[in-house]
This record gives sequence, structure tokens and C-alpha cells, in this order.
Amino acid sequence: MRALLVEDDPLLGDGIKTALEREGYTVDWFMLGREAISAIGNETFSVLILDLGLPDMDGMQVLKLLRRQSTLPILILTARDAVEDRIGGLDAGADDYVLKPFNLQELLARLRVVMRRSEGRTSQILALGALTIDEVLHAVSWRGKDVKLGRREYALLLELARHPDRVLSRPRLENLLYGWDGEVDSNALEVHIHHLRKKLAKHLIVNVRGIGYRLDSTVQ
Amino acid sequence: MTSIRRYLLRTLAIALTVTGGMAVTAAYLITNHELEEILDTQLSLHSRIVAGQLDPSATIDDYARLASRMGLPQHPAQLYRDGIAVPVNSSDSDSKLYHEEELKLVLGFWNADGSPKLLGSKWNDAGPFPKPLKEGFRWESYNGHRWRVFSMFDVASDTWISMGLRGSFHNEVVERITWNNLLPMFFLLPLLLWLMNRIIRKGVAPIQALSSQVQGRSARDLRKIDNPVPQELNGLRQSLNDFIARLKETLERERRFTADAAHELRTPLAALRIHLDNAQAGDQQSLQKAYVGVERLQRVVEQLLILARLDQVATTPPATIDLYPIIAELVAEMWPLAEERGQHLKLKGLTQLKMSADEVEVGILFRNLLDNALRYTPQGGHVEVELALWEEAPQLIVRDTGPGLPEYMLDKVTERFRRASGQGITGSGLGLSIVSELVQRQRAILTLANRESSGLEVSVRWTLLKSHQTALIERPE
Repeated sequence: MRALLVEDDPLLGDGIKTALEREGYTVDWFMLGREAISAIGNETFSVLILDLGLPDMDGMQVLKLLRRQSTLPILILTARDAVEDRIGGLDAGADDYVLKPFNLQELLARLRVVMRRSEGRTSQILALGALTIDEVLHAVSWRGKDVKLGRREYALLLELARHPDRVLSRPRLENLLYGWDGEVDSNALEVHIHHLRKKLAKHLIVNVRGIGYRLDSTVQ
Repeated sequence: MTSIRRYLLRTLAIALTVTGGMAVTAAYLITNHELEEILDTQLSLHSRIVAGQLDPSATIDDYARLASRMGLPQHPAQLYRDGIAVPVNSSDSDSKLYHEEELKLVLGFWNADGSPKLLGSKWNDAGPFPKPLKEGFRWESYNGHRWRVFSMFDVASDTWISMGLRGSFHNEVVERITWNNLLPMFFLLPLLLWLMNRIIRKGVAPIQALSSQVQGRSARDLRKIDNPVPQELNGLRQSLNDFIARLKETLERERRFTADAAHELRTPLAALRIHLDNAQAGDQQSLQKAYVGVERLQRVVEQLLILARLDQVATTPPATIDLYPIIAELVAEMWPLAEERGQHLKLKGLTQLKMSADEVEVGILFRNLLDNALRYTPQGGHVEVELALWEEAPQLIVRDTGPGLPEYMLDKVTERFRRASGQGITGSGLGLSIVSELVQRQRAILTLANRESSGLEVSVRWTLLKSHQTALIERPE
């Protein structure tokens, strides 16, 4: 899961990034609204966390601009607790909001909910044939047996499972693994895919030559 | 203050009644006078005609015949011979009353010696009517009535002629004319009052409409008053609208301040909390970051308290102080901190700078400026404080070699909670806002400018000392 964080406060942004990364997210963090807008135009993210109090643009303005070009699930962070502000944020296109200061568990839960909702799911359990993924517990099972996965393997599998049967491009999957900061080894993606195939089933993840990978939901 | 409508109605009603009363009184007096003249003329004219008709050789029989003509029912004319009444045979056809008013006009004749000769009806009711003593008009009381009498002496017939009109006749006419003037007033006055009431009511309606528009408002309703008003109320409406606009601005500023304060308090709190969560999850550096969050929170709270105090406390009358020792003391105080950060802090310029200000406020102001400069200046950078006179006005300048400010921030940065972002600085966003507040209180001018090389130059320029100003004016060229 790749999250886009737009937070102008260095201290808070740093804290959220650390916490999300611990949870298996890849986090791209920007301090300015316009940077976030250009990033959304170029990259694919699973969710956007947006602070409404930005220095260069009004958060509400950013929200409206983003909504015009993307259906990305958006969670807003706000210090304004007036009802009008919250309603305004939701009306401008946010999927949910978290009021500062927030409980980390609540933030994570709300992130899962908005992402799930954008995929049309209602449960925290993602089930595809013999594969089930519990997003809260980060637990994966295959044919009824629990499977132990590494952090990056889990993130990769979750991303593929969220978009079953759709081809996800190599750069998208690579970015997911490291975000923009990390250097990606040219064959790191292949290594992780190889591990996943070994732990699950060989034909579950199909290589689409020259483009990327897809998860075949018909494999039992 | 009574109601305008009631005041107008009351005063106009009184004015109307008084002028109406005066008009009627004047009419009464004029009628009285004019009628007296007309009636007097008629009396004298008729007397002249009678005199002209008198035959100088008329005998007592001629008078007797005349007496029989002059008699009225129950009031026969009386003929006298040598002062003694002589009965007259008057036929019924002669003693006829053609008009009730005939009883009020009487003719009489006297001999030259004053003895009565022939007296018309009514003038015999209580003995003969008083004889004439001289020619002309007079008032005479007889038998309980007042008579207006004209007398003249006809030399040819050697006879006094008097013609009299009862005073009540005159009075009745005057009264009737006056009454006829007064009567319409009684009907017109209520009608006029009713009309006036309606007109006034309509006239003051815009005032009422305006006041009810203001009165009926809730405290949150700060729309402009835009219903049309007459010219006279334009000024009032304008002032009200100006007031509403100012109120709106103040409320908006307050609202923004609350929102910003919420943001500035909750953001470090959120950061603190998440770093503690991270620390609990085993992240080593998070505890240190949590401390940074606490420090920032503390600073925001302290600065907020300073601002709140500044907002409340009335400005103390400024005294004449020397700026140098205050600034020097604070620079010395901050010097070890700058040293620790590897910054070069320097004080230059004048060593005496008299000015008019409050010492404590100047202290807070300078501490914030210096604090900002040190906070944004990197290690090894320079912070320079200078005291100077600028066109005779005292001036304090703080220069740093920090990153400066983006152009769009320069005029906004003094707003509360504005802070140049992305620098990892634990500012509260209130420092310059406090400075700006203090500068305003001291009627000084705050200027922020980016330096050509790098960094920010902040200058505070006070207005001239009053005594200094006069000294300047009085100095001969």
C-alpha cells in the first residue's frame, strides 16, 4: 500500500510517516499542496492523507483540485473541529476525516476503511478463492493455512490482491516497495515475487511480459 | 427621549389649536369693530333722513299720526305733551310686527328743552328713555338693556332726534359670525389631527423600518442593511453598515484566530502523541522527537498567554527611556545560546538612544525579534542588532543570515500563526504577531525585508519623541 502524505508540519509528518511505515505502508511525504497535486498526476497511490492547514494553498482548495483529477480515497487531518469545517471537508470530496490530535489506531483503522470502501469492500478480510488477507492483523492464509510473509512481500501481495486480475505495472509495484526515497535494486521486485510464488502458488501471480504482474483470482 | 411621532403630533396639534383660536379671536374682534362702524353709520344715516323729513311746522297731531305708525304690538309708541304722556289711538293694522328685530330699533323725538315729544316702542317701558344731552353716539343703559344711541338736534324743527339700537342686536350678530367661524373648526380640527397622525406615521415609517431591521437581528446576522431609506437616514444607515463591517472584520479575525490557535495547539499535540505511539512501538528516535513536540507546545502556550495579556492590558503611558541598556542586557542574555549554536551575535550602532515607550513592552518586542533571528539562522550564521537614528527617529534593526522569507509571506508573516514552512523550526507562529501588536501599540513602524545576500532584516522605527519634535521645530535655521 502506498500512501501519499501531505503535511506541512515537519514533526507531525515525520511521526505519521514512521508509524505508517511500521504498518507496512510505503509513504511519500510532501509539505506543499502543489507538490501533492503534481505527484498524483504522475504516480499511483492507495490513499491520500491530507492536512487541511497548508502554508501555500488552502487545504480545501487542494482537496477540490485533487478530486477533479482522481478518485483516490482521501482522509483529511484537521484541527478545526467546527461542524461546518468537517462537513465542508467531506463535501469537497474527502472520504473521511481525523481530528487532531488523533489516536494512531484510529488513524490506521480509518485508512483501511476508506481504502476498502473505494474497492467496494466492507470487511477487513480480503478473500480471493483460496487466498485470504486480514488487513488488520496483517495475516495471510493460503488454502486454510497461515503463511508468514515479509513486510515487503505482504505489501506487494496486498496491492496485487486489491486489484485482482488487473495488470499492475512494474514501476508502480517498485515504487510501492520503496517509495520515492529508496533506491530499487533492478531485480528486487522479481525476488519478492519469486518468494511469494514459493510460499503461495506458482501460478497465482502471473508475469505479463514487458508490463508487470497480475494476480490470477481463478487459481485455487 | 419620547417618540418622534408623538412629539410631532402633540406639538402640531397644540400649534394648530392655538393658531385656530387666534384666528377666531381676531375674526371676533374685527367683526365687532366693523359691525359697530356699519351700525353706527346706519343709525346716523337714518337719523339724518328722519331729520330731513321733519316738517318744522308739524303739530302734535302730526306726531300723533306718526306715533300710531311707530307703535308695535304690546309696545305702543308714546306721545308726550309738555312732558306728560298722551294716549294715542292706534289701529290694529298699524301696530304690526314685521320682524322680531324691529323691537330692537327705536326712534325718539325730544323738545329742545329736553322734554320728550314722541318715543318709539320699548323706550317707554320704564318711563321715558333718557333724553339726549349732546349730539353724536353714546351707550345708554335703560330698563336693564344697553342701547347704542345716535342723537342729533334739528334746528329747523327745534327738535332732538335719537335713534337707538339695542346692544344685544350687535352682540348677537358678532356672536353668530364668530360662531359660524368657530363651528367648522370643531369638525375640521379632529379631521386635521387624524390626517396629521396618518402623515406623521407614514413619515416616520422608514425610521421604524430601519430600527426594526437592526432590532430584530440575531448576533450572528451581520448582513448589510440594504433596504432603501430616505435621504435623511442615509448617513445613519451608512454608519450602521460601516459598524457592521468593522464588527464582521473583528469577528472574522477572532474566528480565524481561534481556528489557527486550534491548529497550532493540536498539531504539536498530534505530533507528540504519534511520536509517543512510535516510541512505544520501539522506535528509538521517537522519544527525542516527542520532547521537541512538548517544547513547541510549551512555546505556543507561552506566546498565546503573552498575546492574551497584551490584548487585555491597557497601554501604559510611555516614559522616556534609553533603548541601549535594555537591548544590551537582552543581547547579553541570549549570547550564550547563540554561542552554543555556533552563531555570531553582535550589537552595534549608538550607545544611547532616548525614546518614548514602555520598557517592558520594548523588552518583549526585542526578545521576540532576536529569538526569531537566532531560530532561523543556521549554525555559523550571523545575527546583528543595530541601534540607529533614521531621520531623527529612533530605530532598531535586527539582521540575520537565515533563509529570509518568500516574497508572498513578507506582508502576511505578522498575522498570527503565520510561519515560514518546511524549515523544521519549532516556532509558535506567534512571535512576529506579538511584535506587530506591540509595534502598533507604540505607534512604531515594522518593516520586513529580505537582504540582498541572504537573510532577513527587520526594523522597528519609533515616532519622534514629543519634546524632541518641538525642539526640532524651535531650532532656528
